[in-house]
Amino acid sequence: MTALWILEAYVVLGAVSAVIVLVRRRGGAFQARVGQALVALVLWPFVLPVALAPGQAAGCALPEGRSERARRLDEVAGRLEECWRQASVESTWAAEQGREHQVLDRFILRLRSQLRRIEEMEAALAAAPASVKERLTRLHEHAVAELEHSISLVEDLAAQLTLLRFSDLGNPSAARVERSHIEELLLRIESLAEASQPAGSEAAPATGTVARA
Amino acid sequence: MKALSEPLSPFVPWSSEDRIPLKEAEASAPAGQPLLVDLLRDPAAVTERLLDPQRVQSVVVGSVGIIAACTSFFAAAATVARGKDAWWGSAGLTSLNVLMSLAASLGPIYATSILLAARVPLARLVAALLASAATGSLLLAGLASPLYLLTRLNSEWAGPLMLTSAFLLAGSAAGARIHRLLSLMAEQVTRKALGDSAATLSGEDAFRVGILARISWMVLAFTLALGFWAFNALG
Repeated sequence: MTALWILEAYVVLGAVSAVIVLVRRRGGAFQARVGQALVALVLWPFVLPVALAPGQAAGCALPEGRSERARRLDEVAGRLEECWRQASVESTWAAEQGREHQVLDRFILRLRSQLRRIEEMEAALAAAPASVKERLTRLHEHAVAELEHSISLVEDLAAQLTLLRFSDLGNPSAARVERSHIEELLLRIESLAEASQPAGSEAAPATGTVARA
Repeated sequence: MKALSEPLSPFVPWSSEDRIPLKEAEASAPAGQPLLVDLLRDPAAVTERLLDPQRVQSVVVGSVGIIAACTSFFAAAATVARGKDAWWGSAGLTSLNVLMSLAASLGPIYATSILLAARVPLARLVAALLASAATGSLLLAGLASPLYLLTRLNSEWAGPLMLTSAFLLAGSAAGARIHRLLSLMAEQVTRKALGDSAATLSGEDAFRVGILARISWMVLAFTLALGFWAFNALG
């Protein structure tokens, strides 16, 4: 076995990899595809595993192919983060709620995980036998309703935080009322988050309750 | 209600965007950092790239570029310091040697991860290994100038000792980075799966990840040593 033979084998495998990359990236721009194919030709031991990764081919079409629910969740999570940041800057009360912010982060993570499960369930539903289809459909409807409810809670919270920012402009007692609304929403979110914690986290130190004004 | 942000300038009109506290403004800045900076200072940002299917290929290609450039530079400096003119052969051979060693080590490391019940998806494993090697290569490139100076001063002792130390330092940095990247990656995946942002790896999982990281480092060191011995790139 000579070095030349090894080089020939390397080039042949590189060419095969380049073709695979060209085929798998059908949706992309031609120049980008050619560029990636050339990279695959030279560096196939590193590029081929990435090109063959399950999420990669679908990943090109991901922005278009994302479900409406996923987009809504991303949007509401971004809005909540922004509203919380602005409220923390302008309100002493919001700035002191560090633990509640962590609860919200966990809740958003939980919603993302729930969304993934629903997408998996939808895929399973498409191929499910008739005997379990009805039960699976009911489970799916229940999970979707729960997710929608959770997302609407987060939307409400974002709206209330916006209200809190400007509540001091009018009646001084308005700020107190808005705070109590927010605390109520936070309590509901926290109870939802705690209700769905996996069994393993029961050993974790118990969290306190949301502070009331 | 009391404003908690920094005092505003009387010359700038009020805007909520200007009222971001400095700490938050700093935290939001690293989103667009180049790979080179992330490789040097922020393993968590590299992990984010590794877990994002859209960015993992750029990590692979970027890391390969960094490895090729940095190891070539180091080899060229080592060759020129010893008074040889044909530095380009040494530079090309060294980067080729390192890349081939990395490619050769992938199979055994992947097999080990399966045996340890800690399978890393191949695409992420490739990217993590390359990112770690790129960090080591950057350090190696940084050590090229002391190597050049010491070899010029004393080519019998100081130069070879510096050459060995440079490889040991770069190897240690790359090994530590492999461990960190694999741990962070496992932790992120666990957090996403549990939906708990505060979740950590169990003792058993952390142990398996640690073993995998050490074996990765060992296999990579072995293939690299084999390559340097066979090609005699720095000879």
